[in-house]
Amino acid sequence: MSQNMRSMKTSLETTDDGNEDNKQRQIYAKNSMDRFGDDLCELLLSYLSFEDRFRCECVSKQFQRTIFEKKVFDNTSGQLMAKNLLTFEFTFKGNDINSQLLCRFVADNQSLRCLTTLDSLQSFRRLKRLDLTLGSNECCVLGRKRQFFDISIPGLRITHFLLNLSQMDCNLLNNCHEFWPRLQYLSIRCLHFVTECLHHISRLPALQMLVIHCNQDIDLSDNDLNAVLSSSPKLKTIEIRVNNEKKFYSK
Amino acid sequence: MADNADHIDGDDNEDVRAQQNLIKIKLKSSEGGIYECGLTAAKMSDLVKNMVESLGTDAVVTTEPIILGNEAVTDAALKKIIEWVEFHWDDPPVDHDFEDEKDRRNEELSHWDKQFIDVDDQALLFDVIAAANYMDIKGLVEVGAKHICSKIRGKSCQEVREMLKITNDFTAEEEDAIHKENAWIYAKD
Repeated sequence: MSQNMRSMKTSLETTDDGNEDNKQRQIYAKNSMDRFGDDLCELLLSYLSFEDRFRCECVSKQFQRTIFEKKVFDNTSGQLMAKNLLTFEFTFKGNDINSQLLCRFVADNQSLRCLTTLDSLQSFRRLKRLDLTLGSNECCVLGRKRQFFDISIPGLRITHFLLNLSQMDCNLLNNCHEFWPRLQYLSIRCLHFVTECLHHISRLPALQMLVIHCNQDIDLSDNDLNAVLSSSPKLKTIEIRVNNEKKFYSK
Repeated sequence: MADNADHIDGDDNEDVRAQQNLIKIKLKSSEGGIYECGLTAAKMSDLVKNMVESLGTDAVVTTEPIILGNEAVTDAALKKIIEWVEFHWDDPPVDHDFEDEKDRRNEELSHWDKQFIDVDDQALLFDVIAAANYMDIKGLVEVGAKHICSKIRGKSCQEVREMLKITNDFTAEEEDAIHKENAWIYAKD
């Protein structure tokens, strides 16, 4: 019994397992906010308004590291504000997005995950990664007749492009090499893949990896794909996924 | 005996919580001071709660005090923390529904909490926040966070540094670059 009590006593003690905290305490004054670790600092600053976050970003390096949460955005005031996001994801209906606002928002975020439509990518000059999902009623076209999405804007720095769409338009990728000079990774997920697109894809100057993901059988022969590989300047691998079966082609 | 107490532990009934708060347990600060606290109140600390649950209530009530070894848990900070949990232990449980959480985060502090957290001694304020964080008392950390953020609101970087005694570890060039990036926020005013 007494042994029992003794072991209980030791287990009642709690010790500070954060050795770094101990070190910090020796360095920082007790009345300085510098004493807090990043986790606590991030938690405390998460109650700031977005305006205050921008205003206070240069208080210290710790503030800079922790003041912008990695995941949220806020549109309660009709404003989109965030910074240093890894991924930005949003959904909206119709064309009611204020693209100017969005441009400013996306300027510092290099990755955009977008469901439904964007009217233009013109101003997202720093965007590197785009994950775009288009619903069944929106067609994605170069011609501007529907004003939904226009990828025919040169100067994009996009290196990774993931496109999800129900129907592939055979004109979709016309002259894409001009718009996406740095594109390294292209993934297309669709119901039917249109073989004519391959010709345009093979002209992408920086493309290294192509993934085609179809829900139904595609009419692509080994010859077609090998032709793309040989005519494309940097393409190393093509991955074809049909109904969860993967097939690889490489140089 | 132990069985009874443990049975009560799992019950959220208000009367039971009130009854349980009559049971006093002892908490020991890192400076060695021992303070009594109602069981329900003390269990607002997830650290204490887990300890009580793993050891059984009887053990905690009859044995030595629970030692809170983190340096931030000074005598003064622990007294403040016990004051806070003894006031808040009968609050309705936190709802994790997203909308409610958002509302709660945006909600202003109650008059009592404002008075409680408005501590002149900043070292004590930071001790209370760090100790609450260590003891995992989410409600109290939130009170501290809202208090600090309300003090930061609208202030310039330099004013924030002076107020919270933060060392500026940016070079002038680095600071300028951030200012430039965020210039639009100043232009907005």
